[in-house]
Amino acid sequence: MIEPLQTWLAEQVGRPVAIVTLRRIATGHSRAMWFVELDDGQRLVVRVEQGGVFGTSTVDEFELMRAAAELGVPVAPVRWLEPTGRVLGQPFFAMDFVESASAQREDRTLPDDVATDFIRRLHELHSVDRQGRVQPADAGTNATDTQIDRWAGIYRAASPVALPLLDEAEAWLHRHVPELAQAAIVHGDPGPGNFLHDGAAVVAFTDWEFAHIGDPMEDWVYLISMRGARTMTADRWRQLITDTVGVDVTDWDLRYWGAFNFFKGACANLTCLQVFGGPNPAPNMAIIGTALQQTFMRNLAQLVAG
Amino acid sequence: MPEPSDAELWHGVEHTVHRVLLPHIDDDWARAAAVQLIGLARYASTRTAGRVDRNVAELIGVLDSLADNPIVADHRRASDSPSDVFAAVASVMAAAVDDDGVAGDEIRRTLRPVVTRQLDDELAETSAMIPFFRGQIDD
Repeated sequence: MIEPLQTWLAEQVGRPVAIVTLRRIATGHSRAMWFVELDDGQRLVVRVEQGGVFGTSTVDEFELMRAAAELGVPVAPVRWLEPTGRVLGQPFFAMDFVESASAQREDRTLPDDVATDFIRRLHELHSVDRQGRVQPADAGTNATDTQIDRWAGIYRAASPVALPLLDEAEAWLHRHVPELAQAAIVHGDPGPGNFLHDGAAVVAFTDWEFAHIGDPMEDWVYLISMRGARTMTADRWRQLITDTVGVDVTDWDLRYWGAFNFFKGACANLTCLQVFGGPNPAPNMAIIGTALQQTFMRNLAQLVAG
Repeated sequence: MPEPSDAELWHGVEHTVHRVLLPHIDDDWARAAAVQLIGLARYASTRTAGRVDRNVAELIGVLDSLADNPIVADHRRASDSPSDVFAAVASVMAAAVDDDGVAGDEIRRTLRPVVTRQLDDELAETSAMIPFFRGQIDD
């Protein structure tokens, strides 16, 4: 990996460079993350696809991160994109390494100041004036229906057979889709483990592969019910969100968007089983594609039943 | 000729990764993959055979018992193949979402619990891999 990556980085930088450190960062499953230090002192993170895991796009993620940075959102500056797979066998991009005091990905503890600042910064992301950058896949008013269809399409492409609970959920989500007041940039996977902080404030949102234009409530409920569930209780999160940014997350919001997020996860996780049987036969792919996917589907079924 | 069973082969893989290889792996990512592989090998050695065929047979029985249900009548399966049976069940359950009447209630009362129970049965086996996924190994 070192030689082709080094050659490519030299092309991007415009002069010879040498990689003095290359170390895999043991976080995340959909992308291989590599810490790279060059002989000129530059420190980068190279984020490499893993054969189509989760059905998300490196190109889309790169473009959205670049647009977000231009709009003042805290995000690691992206540098160069390799979309073809000709260099490392999979599409990837390089971004600046960002210093932080954040703990390991699986540690979901947060100081109170950091939790509050995260809520504030997430609300800012949702409220940012996109200024024509980051276009929705549709006119915006049907953004949630578009996302339901997107994930259903990924499920059907990844699974050799129909999964009745996913078809049921798809119909239920469409039937009960909330009216969207204002389409916004939605991170899609927000919360502890997916942002960097310095002990007091957010330094950068990370892992933007699920980001899209949609309903901000998707993010709030994801934070409360999924990524933030081990940090504090749902009631504590809801109170903190209301007190900090004035957003009220209702019981119905928790049910609908909880179902949406488990639907999204259940559909995305199916791709791992497909990848396990193909380009990436790693054990985590098999486990995500079975145990985790089925857990999400079971939680989804409970929410749909009510 | 005597030969090891599949369960014995998988146990051999699990034991070797755990007791021989893992103590000598220092790299964080490689250690995580090794622990996950132990979980995968344990699942492979203990999972129930023939699950799909049994599930399909059960679903066929339920669909046939609902032959007079108008939703089932509108989404008849093309064959008894697993693909066609799951497709029919999926179409029926999706259609029932928009039916708040007797037909939809019958689907939710009769067919849906079978589908969720089948998922629970499979999850009871696959969920044993989750601790290994989180890096937890039983010594």
